[in-house]
Amino acid sequence: MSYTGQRSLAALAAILLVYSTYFVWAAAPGRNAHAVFSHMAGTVILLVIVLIALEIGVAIITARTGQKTDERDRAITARAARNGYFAVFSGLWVMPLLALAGASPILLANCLLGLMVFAEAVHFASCALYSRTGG
Amino acid sequence: MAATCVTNRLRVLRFNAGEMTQAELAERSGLTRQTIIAIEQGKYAPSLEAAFRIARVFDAKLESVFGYEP
Repeated sequence: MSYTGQRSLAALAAILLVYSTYFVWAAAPGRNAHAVFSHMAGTVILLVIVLIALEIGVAIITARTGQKTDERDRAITARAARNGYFAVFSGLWVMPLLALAGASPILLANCLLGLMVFAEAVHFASCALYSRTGG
Repeated sequence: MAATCVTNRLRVLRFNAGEMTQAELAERSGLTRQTIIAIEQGKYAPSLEAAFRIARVFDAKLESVFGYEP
């Protein structure tokens, strides 16, 4: 698989692992706002660190094997980003409706985070899929 | 992804060039092997620049390497 495909699969796995852990924790009853927002911030920071480490790891491995990127990788990344943006804008309209329905700030923040996670997952999954199917 | 309307004769040209490997063609055209595979299988339409670079590897004209069948 190409560098883009490997990087996307690794990032997708990291996102799903880190955020599913957070969402399972946050879904438990009796969580107060301070704890939820602290965990949320910690999770986002953790994921940034994990993604940077993954990027460096995949770059080192692909450099050893002499792999590189080209115009097809750039086209795949652009198409996948478009899918990610589509996912964001498809779900963004739910936020004002939730706010109007009287949802708590914790629920709103978690839904917004969930939407961003979904968009990123769509982005990286698209990258991996297009890399496999030819782009 | 949908197959492209751009056809190619890469397999034949590689054979005529002494069974040139996809990796070698990728190296000489400045593309990745995955891209050469995708082009050869008709799954990816290369940019004009990439098409010229591939044609140059075989010392052939662009239209003798690539075609268009809508």
